[in-house]
Amino acid sequence: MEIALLGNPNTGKTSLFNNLTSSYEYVGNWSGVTVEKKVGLLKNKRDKLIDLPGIYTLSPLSKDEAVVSQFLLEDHVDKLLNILDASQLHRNLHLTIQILEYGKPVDICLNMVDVAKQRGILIDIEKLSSLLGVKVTPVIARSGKGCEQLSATLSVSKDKYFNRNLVDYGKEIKEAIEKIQGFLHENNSLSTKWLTLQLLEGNQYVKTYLKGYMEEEVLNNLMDDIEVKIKQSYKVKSVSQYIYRKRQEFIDHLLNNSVTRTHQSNIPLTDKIDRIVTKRILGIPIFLFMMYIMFMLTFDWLGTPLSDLLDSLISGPVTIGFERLLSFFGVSVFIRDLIVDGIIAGVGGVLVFIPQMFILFFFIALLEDSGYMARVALVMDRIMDKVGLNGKAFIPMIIGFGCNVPGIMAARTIETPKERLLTTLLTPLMSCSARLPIYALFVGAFFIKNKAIVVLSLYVLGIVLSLVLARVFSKTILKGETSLFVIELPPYRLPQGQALWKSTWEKGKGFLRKASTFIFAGSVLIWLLSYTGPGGLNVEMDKSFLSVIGGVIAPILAPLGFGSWQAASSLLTGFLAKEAIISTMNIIYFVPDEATLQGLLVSQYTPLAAYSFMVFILLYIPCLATTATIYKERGSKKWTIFSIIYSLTLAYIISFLVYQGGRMFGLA
Amino acid sequence: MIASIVIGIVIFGYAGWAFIRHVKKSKEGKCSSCREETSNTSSCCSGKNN
Repeated sequence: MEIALLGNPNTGKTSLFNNLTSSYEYVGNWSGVTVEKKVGLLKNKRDKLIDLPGIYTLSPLSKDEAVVSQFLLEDHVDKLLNILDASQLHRNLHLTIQILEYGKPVDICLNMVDVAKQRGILIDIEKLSSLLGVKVTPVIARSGKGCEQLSATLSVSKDKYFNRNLVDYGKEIKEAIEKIQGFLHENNSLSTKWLTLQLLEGNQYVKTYLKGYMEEEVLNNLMDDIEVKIKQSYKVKSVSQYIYRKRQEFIDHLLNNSVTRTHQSNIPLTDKIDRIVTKRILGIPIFLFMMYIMFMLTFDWLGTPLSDLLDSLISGPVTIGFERLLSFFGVSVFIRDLIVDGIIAGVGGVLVFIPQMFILFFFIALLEDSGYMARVALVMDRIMDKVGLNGKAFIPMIIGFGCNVPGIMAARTIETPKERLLTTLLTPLMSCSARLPIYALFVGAFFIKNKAIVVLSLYVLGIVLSLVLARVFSKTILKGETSLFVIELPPYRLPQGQALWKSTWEKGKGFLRKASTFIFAGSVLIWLLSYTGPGGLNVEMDKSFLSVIGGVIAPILAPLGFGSWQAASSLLTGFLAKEAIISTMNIIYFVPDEATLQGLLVSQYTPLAAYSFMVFILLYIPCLATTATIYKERGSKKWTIFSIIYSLTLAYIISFLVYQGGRMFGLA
Repeated sequence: MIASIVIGIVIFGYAGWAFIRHVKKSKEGKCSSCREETSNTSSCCSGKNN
């Protein structure tokens, strides 16, 4: 059996999905976490559950919302599971009615009953169930309470109750349904009532579907005819407004009979916090302060000491252990060098930054799970609006701090094509977690006293440049309409330890996976390029293939302060994955541990050149996976090439300004 | 000597496989660290909606 999970944004669909299936999908406390359908196997190992993007109505506005309409029209589904936020029933039930009209068996899962109870909302489950004509199961998806009962209900193939005429839409709509029914033939398996109502509400996907059965002109005439009749009879502005009103009447009746409010709660804590954090003047400084604390923890208070411990472990016992093992087996010098100077140096050089990565991932999880993310979007809206975007575009950008790939995918939630493209092009300017180890290495060598501030400045530079470019692009090459910013502020919640750990671990695990696969492979390749040269094997590093390749580009980078072949070749490997820059440096500089590498870097770079190098790494090119995602999401070679060229140009200009400008001011 | 050959083959074989796999997966829009992947659904949507 295939069951589709549907609900409003931020009602806990993904939490429920993770609980009901054995899979783990990304969870976050803001609207638009799920941008495409995800399929998981229910714990009975028989039925499939399909997680769909959150929607307020089936008539789509953005690309992620369109996924649901397309799914309902084109894919096979046996049952629908509608998840409702018990504290927001009034709004959530509009979608429920549309789902019930779809005509397939429906189960309802009433989530967040605990939150509703705290707010004094008491729901008579039995009554609600009988009025809706479907089974309603209360759950708390975050903790998993009630999920077992829901699983048992879901496995029953058909619901006992079957009441599909909940809303009386009047005789005009009834006539329209009958007319459309006349055109549909047996190939159509969808409910005519649902199709008609969706058509009249303006669902373009349903209109396209119906065009397969009737002439467009006939369809348009029918719609115009109903529009005129409804406007005349009921004094409404449009048919969709009329349908909305009818559903609202039913919802009022339903809630009057099944919900009681025990007390009017005082100003919720959420509102009290929001009065401070979303304030015009305080909003951005608070956001910057939170990021500062995050970087202090990552680089000063916790991350670096742990990283140093790991470094001494890898450069000490691990390396010695491997060397002993290799001499025991009597391996050749070539293999010994490959393992110690190539793999251990390259992979180990990246692995020492695990503590910093985990702290960053933990903070991102905290930001997502607490509900603060949506507030940041709201705070940023005032600035974003001035540059041709709106606050909603900032959410993909924040996701981009973790990894640019899901960030770009999250741009699907944005309504207008212009804003969507703009967000896709600018998200790579957000400093992803793969760039963090490079900063950690350089700030540890050059800016020991101001590590957090320097890294914060790079993140802020990425944000500021994306805003400036949004303004430039939207005034020149990307003119177009701007959408209205509407964001639902979810209530703050205390993140649960287990959820935070799971999210942190999932992201951290990915980093470890990458280290054991690509970074391993990259290290072998880089070592081989540094070991061989035009002169043969085991050549001097300066005469290796790597130095020949890097030497071609190095002169171009000289005005930026880092015109060495070492810097150039590490930047080249960074296109495949940014972490590879660190591996390359470890292998090139041929050092046993992080501290020695930092010491060596000090002799190669000035602090100003080091900052310029970090700026270049922040901006210079989206990695291969991000570039491919831009191409896949936009389906345009032109824009993909544009994103590479503009970022390279931008990186060169800004690094040039930083280095040459700094020198003019007497910095070194 | 035999140990060197065996270790060499294993390392270069695995590295070659991991490298090609990374490039192939990246080209598909999949980030090897965060598991995120652009699905076929998205590419078909992008064509329709842009």
